[in-house]
Amino acid sequence: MTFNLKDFKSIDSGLSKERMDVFQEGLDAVSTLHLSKAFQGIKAVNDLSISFPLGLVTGLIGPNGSGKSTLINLLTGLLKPDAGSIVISGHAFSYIKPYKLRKFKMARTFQDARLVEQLSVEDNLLLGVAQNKIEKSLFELSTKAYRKKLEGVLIKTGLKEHRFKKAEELSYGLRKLLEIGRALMQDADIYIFDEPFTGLSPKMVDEVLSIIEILRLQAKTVILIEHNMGMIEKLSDYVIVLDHGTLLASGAPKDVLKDKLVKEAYLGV
Amino acid sequence: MEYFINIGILFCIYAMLALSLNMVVGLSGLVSLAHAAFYGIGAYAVAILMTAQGFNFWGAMCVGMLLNGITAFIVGKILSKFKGDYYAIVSAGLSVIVFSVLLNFKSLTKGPLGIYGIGKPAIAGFHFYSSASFLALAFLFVVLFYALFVLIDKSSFGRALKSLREDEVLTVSLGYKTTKYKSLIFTLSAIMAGVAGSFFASYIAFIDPTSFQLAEGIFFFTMITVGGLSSAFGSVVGAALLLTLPEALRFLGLPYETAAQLQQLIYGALLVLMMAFRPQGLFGKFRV
Amino acid sequence: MKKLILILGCVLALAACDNKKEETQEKPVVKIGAILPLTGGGAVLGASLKAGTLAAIEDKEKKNLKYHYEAIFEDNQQQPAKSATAANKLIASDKVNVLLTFTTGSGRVIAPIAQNAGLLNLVATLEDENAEPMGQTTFWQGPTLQSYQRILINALKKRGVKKLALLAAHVGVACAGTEHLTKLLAKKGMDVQVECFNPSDRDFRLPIQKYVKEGYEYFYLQFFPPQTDIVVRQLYEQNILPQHIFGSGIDTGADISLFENINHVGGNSGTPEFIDRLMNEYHIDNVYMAASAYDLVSLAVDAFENAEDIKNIDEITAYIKEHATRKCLSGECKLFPNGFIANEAEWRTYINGKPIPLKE
Repeated sequence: MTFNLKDFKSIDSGLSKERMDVFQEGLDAVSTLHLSKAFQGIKAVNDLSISFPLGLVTGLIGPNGSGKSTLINLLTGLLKPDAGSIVISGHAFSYIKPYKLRKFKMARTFQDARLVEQLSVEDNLLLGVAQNKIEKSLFELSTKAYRKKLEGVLIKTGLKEHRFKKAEELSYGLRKLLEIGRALMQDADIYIFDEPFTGLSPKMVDEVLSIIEILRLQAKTVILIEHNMGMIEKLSDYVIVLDHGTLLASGAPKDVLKDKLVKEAYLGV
Repeated sequence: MEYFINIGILFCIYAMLALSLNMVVGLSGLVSLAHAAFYGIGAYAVAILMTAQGFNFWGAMCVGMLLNGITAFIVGKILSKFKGDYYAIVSAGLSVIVFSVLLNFKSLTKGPLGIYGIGKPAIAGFHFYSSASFLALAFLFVVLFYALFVLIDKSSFGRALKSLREDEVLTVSLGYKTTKYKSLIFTLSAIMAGVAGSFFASYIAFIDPTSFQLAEGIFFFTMITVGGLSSAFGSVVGAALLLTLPEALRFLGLPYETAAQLQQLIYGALLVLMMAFRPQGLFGKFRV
Repeated sequence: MKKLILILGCVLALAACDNKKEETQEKPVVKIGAILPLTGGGAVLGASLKAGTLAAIEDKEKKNLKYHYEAIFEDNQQQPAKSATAANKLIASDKVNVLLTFTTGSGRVIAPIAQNAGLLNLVATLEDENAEPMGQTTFWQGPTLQSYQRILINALKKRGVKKLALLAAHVGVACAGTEHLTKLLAKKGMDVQVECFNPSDRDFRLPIQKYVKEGYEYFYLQFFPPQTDIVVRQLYEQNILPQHIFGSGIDTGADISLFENINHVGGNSGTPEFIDRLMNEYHIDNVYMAASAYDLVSLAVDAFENAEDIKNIDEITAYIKEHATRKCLSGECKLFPNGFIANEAEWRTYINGKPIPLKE
């Protein structure tokens, strides 16, 4: 299912040529078809059919309990749908096995950074890219192949001086940066960031902003869950609004954020 | 001197066991109480095949390794359905089952009567009859197991294990088929425990089922918990400590009536103290 | 004058001191390393054997001997594997001249160690008279499985036992010997049901009830501690009378009062005087196989006393082979070619806590 260019009447002309090409093709990176998931009778995601456009930053917003986290967990295989299907880069599934995320070049972060606490920053970063074929992984003793990328990510995330520390020793903000770094290491095509700015110092916010900007320039698909509307407006090319597990609105940020229904949903909370 | 050589041989056997168990418990976070079973299978393979079928030590040991590999592969699949405490309980079940088989399958294992007259290994005509030569051979295997542990620890395979021990779901989402990883490390560990059992059978020359009860598995657990989880060095230290402790008590000249009780008391107290003040053990790299 | 007496006195005193030294130098020490279950369930048996050992040494030392004899005890917690380290320690550190242990398992573990060290190895155990030899320097003593079975079969037949439930532990020869025993009893027209239990089993109530229901009014028990006491208690709970309980090695239990009036076959306990002495002087209730230990130690002492060189193991073993068949404390002792010195078994009961031999 492709989305319509008409939704982007007032698109930001700051797109690079690369992104313009991708954007004009109008393909989806990820989409759902009648996706449903209920918990103890309550439908967290209710017959949802939406698309995340390829190569753009899509803001995923909605009041608390609207189903954003559930949706993301379904897309990344942490939850099994009750019904419906998920399409990633043209491949349809009723359920994605989480270990296939790497194959589909999808990387995500969590609201509260989910790290391997007793491993070092370096090891946490390498996890997403190190050899995962069991017979080869036993003989992969050197990290030389990942050195360059590792150094780059350590600088980008400001974690260079903490590289040998254990994840559990890091502050809240650094933990989030580490998780973002892990995603960057994977050089994915689709990034899902779950409230990446929450709890960060202003300096760290800038760092994350610049990371997302770079991903935009590289025409990567980014799905951004955020409560900060300013950030959404600043970063997103497209916005999807959920409420009670269904699609409330979607389109260009300027339009969606002014939408009466959207405002009601948020204020009503 | 002979006494110390014999202690040394026992140390090598326990060190092999500790290293094998630490791969599963320390590196991978799988609380296995099944290793007494694998130890027993390795020992009985050598005992039965050498005395009744004329196998040499190496051939018998290989059969034991194969048996353990198959058993661990099958049991590992069953165990993968369980987590944490349940994993421990179900794995303990294997120890109980194997002990029962060793005790009751008299036609094969001679049951409680045990098997005696187990021979020693030989290489190119040289027989390891002397304790000193046996110690050297056993020590070689300790070095081998130690190196294997370190190799796994430093490899990407080890990183994946260390990741899944803390957060298996996250590890899967990072692209790792964790059930395969767990299966492989469990199988490898079982084979290693069996090798230790083979050496034990040959060293002591007489085995009976009483050496392979669940309590032994708990003792192995104590070794690595005290010495240090997820650490090759810790495994070896734990083995040395828990082996020399009762021997040291012997030399203290305590009345025999109290020595054995005191030993148990000390083991128990060590475990409690470790968990309270240093849950990673003396040289551990992983806190439970 | 005073000075002279003083000097004489000192010289005499010094001479006396010298004599003492010479005395101890003349009497080298022969050490007996005894590896027994001193703790755990088998402790009651270990205590009995320890008493037997010490009594033998005490009696021998009353005579004028070439050597002074000393026993050093190590605990193997009833686990054969632990006997190996204990033996090694006794040999290397305590420099013992002879090893003594209990049960075939422990004996077989120690046998090669003793043989390598050129030492005598003595084992107190119940065993099949056709068992494989344990080692060139190992001798073991106890009643034979065959004599147990023979006595039991006669006793049961005489008492007109028709239906017998045989309960045994999966330890040593206890369960292992039941198959053959059942066949022999069947030949004498007895209906025997056999059930074997794991050493960790503690509840026998259901099997007991089952056999009672099926009309098996007699029970024959072959257990080791701590199961012995437990089974007997549970039989009493089910109102089975002592007259309907038989055993072999029933006196392996810790609470002797439980075995009052229970008829059983056991190794000859020695003379009533010996039994009294062990109970009063050594303060043990249970004299299980103490007489066998006594005989083994006595024989060893004789061997050392008669040897020209106590370090010559061939000399020692030759003496034993020549003299093992004799009248001993535990009845007639007979040496088999496999190294087994069989002593007598007897049919007996316990009355007022003492083993009393009965006519079969």
